[in-house]
Amino acid sequence: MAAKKANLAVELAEKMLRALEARRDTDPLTLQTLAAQVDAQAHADLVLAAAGRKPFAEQAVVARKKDLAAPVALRDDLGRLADSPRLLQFALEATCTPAKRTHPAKRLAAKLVPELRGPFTEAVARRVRENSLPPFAGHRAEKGVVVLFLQSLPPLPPPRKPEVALAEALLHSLEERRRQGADHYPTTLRTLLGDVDAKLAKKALGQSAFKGGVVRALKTHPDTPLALASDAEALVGSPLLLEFLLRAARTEATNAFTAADLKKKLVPALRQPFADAVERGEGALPAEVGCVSLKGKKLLFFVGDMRRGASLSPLSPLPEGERGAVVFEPAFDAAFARLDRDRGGHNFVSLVDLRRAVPLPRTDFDAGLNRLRAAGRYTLSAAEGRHGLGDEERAAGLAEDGVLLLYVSRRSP
Amino acid sequence: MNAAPAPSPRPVTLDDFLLRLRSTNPFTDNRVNGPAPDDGDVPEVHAAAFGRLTSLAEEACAERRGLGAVLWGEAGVGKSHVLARLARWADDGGRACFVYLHNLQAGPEFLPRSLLRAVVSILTLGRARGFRGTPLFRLVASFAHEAFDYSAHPSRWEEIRPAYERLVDRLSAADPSHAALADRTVYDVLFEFFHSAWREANGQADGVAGLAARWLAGDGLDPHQARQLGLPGGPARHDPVALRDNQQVKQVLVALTRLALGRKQPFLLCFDQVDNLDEEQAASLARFLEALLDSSPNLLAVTAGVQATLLGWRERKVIQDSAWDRLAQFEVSLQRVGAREAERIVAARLGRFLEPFRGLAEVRERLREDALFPLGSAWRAENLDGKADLRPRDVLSKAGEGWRRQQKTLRERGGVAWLERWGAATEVARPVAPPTDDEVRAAIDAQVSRKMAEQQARREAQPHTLPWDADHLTGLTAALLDGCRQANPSCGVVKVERMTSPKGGSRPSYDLAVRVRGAGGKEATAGVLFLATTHATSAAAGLRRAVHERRKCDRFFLVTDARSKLTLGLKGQEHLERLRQGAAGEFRHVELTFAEYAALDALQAAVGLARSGDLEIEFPGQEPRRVTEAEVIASHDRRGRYRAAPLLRELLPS
Repeated sequence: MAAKKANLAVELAEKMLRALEARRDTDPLTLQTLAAQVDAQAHADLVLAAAGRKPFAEQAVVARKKDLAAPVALRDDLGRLADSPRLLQFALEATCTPAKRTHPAKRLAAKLVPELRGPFTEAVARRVRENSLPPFAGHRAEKGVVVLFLQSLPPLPPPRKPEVALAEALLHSLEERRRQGADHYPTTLRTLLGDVDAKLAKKALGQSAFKGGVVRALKTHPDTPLALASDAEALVGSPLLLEFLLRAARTEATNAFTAADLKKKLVPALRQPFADAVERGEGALPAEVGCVSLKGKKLLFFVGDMRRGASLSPLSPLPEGERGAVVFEPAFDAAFARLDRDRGGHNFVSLVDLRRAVPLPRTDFDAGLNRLRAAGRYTLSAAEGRHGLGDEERAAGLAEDGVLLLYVSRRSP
Repeated sequence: MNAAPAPSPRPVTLDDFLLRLRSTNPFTDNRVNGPAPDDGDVPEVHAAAFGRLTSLAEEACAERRGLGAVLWGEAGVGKSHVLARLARWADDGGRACFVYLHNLQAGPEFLPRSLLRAVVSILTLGRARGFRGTPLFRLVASFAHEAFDYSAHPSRWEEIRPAYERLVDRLSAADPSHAALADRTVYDVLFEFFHSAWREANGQADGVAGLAARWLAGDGLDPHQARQLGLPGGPARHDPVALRDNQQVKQVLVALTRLALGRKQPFLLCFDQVDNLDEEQAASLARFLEALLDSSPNLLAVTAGVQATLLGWRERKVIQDSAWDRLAQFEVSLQRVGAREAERIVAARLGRFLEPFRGLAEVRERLREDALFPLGSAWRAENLDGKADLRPRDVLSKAGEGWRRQQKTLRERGGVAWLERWGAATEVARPVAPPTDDEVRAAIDAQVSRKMAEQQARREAQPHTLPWDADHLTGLTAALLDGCRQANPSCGVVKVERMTSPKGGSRPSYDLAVRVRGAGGKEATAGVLFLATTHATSAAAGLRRAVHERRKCDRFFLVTDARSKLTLGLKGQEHLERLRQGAAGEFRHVELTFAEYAALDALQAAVGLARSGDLEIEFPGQEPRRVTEAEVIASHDRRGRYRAAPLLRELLPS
């Protein structure tokens, strides 16, 4: 049995040698490919045994013992094999790992049979000098030593400090928001940070790249509106900033303010631009903010505050339905915009939250909402989803055609 | 000799029209179960969402990026219709390479491989040979064409192979940051597939293309088969050779998207009804898609599901932020339609129904009076006018109900009288008593049976959408047995466990352990091994593990694909014989036919439809009623479907 196997190995060795001689003008093959060309059914063990048999072992060189993937050539062509891209690729693939991606030529050569090591190292050095490495390989200097790597496994960039990476990511996120449009930008610091660890966030916000790239409306407030430094003008004219300042300034006793009142909380560089923008009427007024003039100065307030005063004011004589429309629609628009923004801008807001935010009697609320639906501005969808429904959700939904409608979306075109 | 002329078709008569009206209802089928021919599609409905998806597909191709989009909305709003429209768009002139996936059942850790298996099966049309003309063949051919800058192909393979390899080299060199993604082995195997398929088409079959397709699909190959593809052996000499891990699974998919770029086709991967998935499956799929999207140069992954469920997963961090940001990078929402769009949906179905009868004077006259004949404007006034938000499925249900009223009137009055008095006294819906519990159960049973039959018919019409997949079968069987236990705790199933490799431990010899309690109260465990049968080494390895398993079962089930007979070498046959003699427990070999496999799949697909809110029943004069997941499972139990199902009937105690 053993003798038969030995004979098969010798027979295969002879075939492989003949095949190698027949194609010595072409690129070196791997041992596996060479064997498959002469005997596609040959078992791996038999191929490895044949590679060690005369005459193959005497006249051919396999770049690495016991390795089917190793390139092979006639000993007379040793120089060509040493200089071949296939051998370099083989050595790189045998040596480079995701954890250790770069290696000097000598370490690559150590993977090869001794007779190839010297010629291989010289060939690689020449290719590096002449900048003629094959496309799959790259090189660079590390501590004065030339190292090689696979382009498919390039060296990793040096690790950056987490706070530096976060600062860059935050700036990138702001740029992305700017691209997404006015619904997303400017934004608040809290929204930008999301659920980032507080300590890491503090360090990132102190990075010069972040400080220089961003303009904040307030220096330390965690909810401060902010924008890229080049967009200070957009920030001072944004509804977000106006609403934020108004909310910060508002008390039960005082709920109407001039720009001069509001600007006091801003960082100095933004105060005058903000006041100017308000007085010029630049920027869109948030839907839930109203504005009247008093002795040439603009007075800003929440529409909701005006409604509370309405029972004592001349507004009350308006017919009931009309008054509902006047009050409901801007309040609903504003509440929807704020809730949607807070929940990630998916255009999907629960009636539970909307009823809380616009605390009108249910009949007024439902009538107002149905007007908005009929006008094609909002649409409802059913309460579904696999997480089930709570009592509050059941109570807030609108039953229609046997279905409980719970979620409100702005009608898309 | 000339063939006799075909007889001219008989002219359509009024009787034909009335008979058709009485016997069919164009509004009965109100949901889509997958890509389908244009069945009354109305392009104006959800046009913006559809346009968004096609432009994202084109952007992915033009910008060479992976883009993720969620297509969401409530059940019945038209998500599957939009995906079916997208499939037709892709198919029209070969605009895109489209893969539609749903009802994924594999466990979380096996989901990527199961996904790949489904994709490759779809691209090879489930074939084991004769690959020329398959989508995968065309993709690789285009890549080879790209290697020659789309100039005429040379006729010699000696020129094609180096050019192909140079193109792969260029992929790595062109963008070093993506170089690691150009897995040479995958591209080499794709080339072998292409070359062998071409040889086979020219009468020189060598079987290599079939081996390549199997390796690309994630199946293990015997070492000698792997050598034919130029693949290195496994860790040990006799180990099967397969894709190493999920990273290499991803590399195959990345390569497929790159090949599609050569054809200038966006690669579309569409997952329908993802809200069916368990949370662990959803998390696993999201993680894998994140990695895939980051690496793919030409991919639009569309994830379709109920918005509330998907957002619930997002808020509860079932899907991590980074994964969400990739797979939901673009949100495409489908909303309820207005009355005008609803009328168009109805008119489209009416138009298809009336098409053969438009030549009839009576029909033409009625249509002049009322464009919604035979449903009628009165139906519109009753159901659409003044409605702000309408769900397309509800509109079709109401139209179906209106149609049934017309059928009833037609039967009562007779055809001529019905036509003469049509419109003058259209019957309106009368309040009816709500159905009894028995009626509801009967309606659920009928509807579930109908949906299962639809699902099974679809799978049988397109068997490549359901490849033999041990991971899928394991998940499917486990889910069904769990359902059976949930519906009827006395069914005898005590515990169902999917076996996974413990950290540092050995892989169990079976995929599923089923603990059952027999009539006498005695408990027994059945081990179930699902085995791919086409590669002898891995089949033998699976059997060997079973023979040597220390944790013996009382019963051992070997489940194989009846379409491809179990191929075993000497050792494998020896192991099988020992199993037959009871080495792993009382032995049973179950060969599943494709019809039986599809039947199992359909059982669980019906549960999935209910989970997604896509299964409803209707009663005359009542609003449609949603069928819950628990009700489907109860129906399966009530109708004895679990005990009648192949494989399950063997596993459940009598």
